[in-house]
Amino acid sequence: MTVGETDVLTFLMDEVAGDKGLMVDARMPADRASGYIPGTVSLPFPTLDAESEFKGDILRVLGARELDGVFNFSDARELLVYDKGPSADDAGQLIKNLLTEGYPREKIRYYRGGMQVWSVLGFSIAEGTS
Amino acid sequence: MRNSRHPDPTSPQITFDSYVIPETVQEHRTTSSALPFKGTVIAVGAIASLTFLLGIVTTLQFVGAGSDAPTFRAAASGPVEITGADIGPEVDDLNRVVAASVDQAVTRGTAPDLMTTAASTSRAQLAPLTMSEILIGLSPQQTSGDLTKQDQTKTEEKDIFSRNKLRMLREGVLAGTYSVKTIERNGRQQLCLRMPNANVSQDEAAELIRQAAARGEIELPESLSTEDGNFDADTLIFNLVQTSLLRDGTEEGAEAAREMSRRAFAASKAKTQSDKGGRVYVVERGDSLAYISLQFYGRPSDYNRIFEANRSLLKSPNRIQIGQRLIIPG
Repeated sequence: MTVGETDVLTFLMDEVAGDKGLMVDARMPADRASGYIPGTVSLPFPTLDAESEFKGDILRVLGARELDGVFNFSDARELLVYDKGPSADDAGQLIKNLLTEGYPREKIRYYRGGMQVWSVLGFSIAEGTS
Repeated sequence: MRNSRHPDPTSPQITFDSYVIPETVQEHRTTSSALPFKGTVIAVGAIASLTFLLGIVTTLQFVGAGSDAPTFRAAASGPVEITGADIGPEVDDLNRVVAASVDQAVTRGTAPDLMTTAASTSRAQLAPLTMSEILIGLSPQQTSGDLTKQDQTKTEEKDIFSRNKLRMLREGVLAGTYSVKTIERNGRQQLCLRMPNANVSQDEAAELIRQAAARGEIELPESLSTEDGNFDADTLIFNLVQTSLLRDGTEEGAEAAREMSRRAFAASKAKTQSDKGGRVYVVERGDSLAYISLQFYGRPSDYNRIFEANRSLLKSPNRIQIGQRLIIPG
C-alpha cells in the first residue's frame, strides 16, 4: 500500500511510538548518512536478499517467530518502507525481498515520495549514522 | 546600380516594379485577423520555455538533495518531533543485526558466495516434498484409487479410528498431499489437517470420537480438553498422524512429521504479546493446551512445555480458561 506524508506522520506517531510498527529506510548506509527521516531505522535492502545469512536474524527482530526454518508472521510488526524517492528502487527491492520471505503484504506500507519529496516539503531530517 | 549591372542598352530591363499585380491577388493585411494568431504562438512559446526552465530547476534540486546540497536538508523542522528515543529496544537489535550484515553480507556485493550453503539447505529440505506434491497433484486418480481399494479390503475393521483411516491420513502426509488450514469450527477459526478425498471420513471420525467421549466410552488426554469443556478432535487427529509418523522409525516418517509441524506453525494466526522479556498468549474461545502447543511448536504433544511454564496458573492441563495469560517458552 502506497502512503502519503500525512500517513507517514500518523504512522510515526501511532505505530512507531506505540512500538507496533517500524519505519524502515531501504537505502544503503552511505546514502542514509546524508540525511534520514527522524524515528526511522536502517534496513538496507540487500540484508534480506535470498543469500543473506542475516535474513533469519532480521526477520526475528521484526517480530517473526521461527520453527525449523519456517517463519510465522502473526506477531510481525507493521512496516513503512521508504528510500531516496521516486527515482530509486531500494524500497521496491526491500519489499520484494520481504514478500519472498513470506512477510504479509498487509503489514507493509510504502512511502513513495521518499527523501526527495520529504525534503522538498520541508519536513525535518536527521543527519549522521544511525 | 542597375545601370552598372546591365550596361547593355539592348537587353530588356525588367524589375519587380514593372509588373502590375492585380488587385484581386494582392495580400490584404488586416490587423484584426493577424494578431490573435501571433499572440497564441507567443503564449504557447512562453509556457513551453517556462515549463522547461521549471523542469531544469526541479531536476537540479533533486540532484542536489541526493548528493550533498545543504540547502534542502537544512529545511525548517516539521510539525512532528520524533527522536530515536521513542523507538523500542528491539530497534537496537535491528541496528546491530543490520550493522553486522552490512559489514559482511552487503559489502560483499552481488557476487554469489559459494562457501555459504547453510542458508540454502533448509530450502532444499522442503523441495522434495513440494515436488512430489506437485506430481501427485497432477495424477490424483491413481492415488485415490489405491487408497479406496485398501479401504474396501479392510472394511471389517470396526474401530472408530480404524488403522485404515489412520493409514490413509498417514500416507497422504508422507506423500505430501495435505494441507494445514484454518477452517471454521463452532464459530472460530481452527487449524486442521486437511486432505483431498479424506476430509469427510476425517470429520466423521472426529464426530464419532466426540460422541464416544461424551458417553464416557473412551478417555481422552487432558491436554485435548478445550476451555469450554469440549474436546479438540482436530488436534487429536493431527497428533495421531504425527506421532504415528514419528514412531515409524524411518527417515521419511520423521521428515514428514517435521513438515507437518512446519506447515501448522506457518499457518497459525495466533498472536502473542511481549511481557517482561517473554511472550504471552491469551487463551481464546475453543482453545485446548495441545492446540496452543500445535500453534507455537507445531506439535500438540509438546503441550507440557507450556503447562510446566504456567504451573502457577494451571492445576491440570484441562483447566485452561478463556482470557488466561499463558507464558509461551521460547
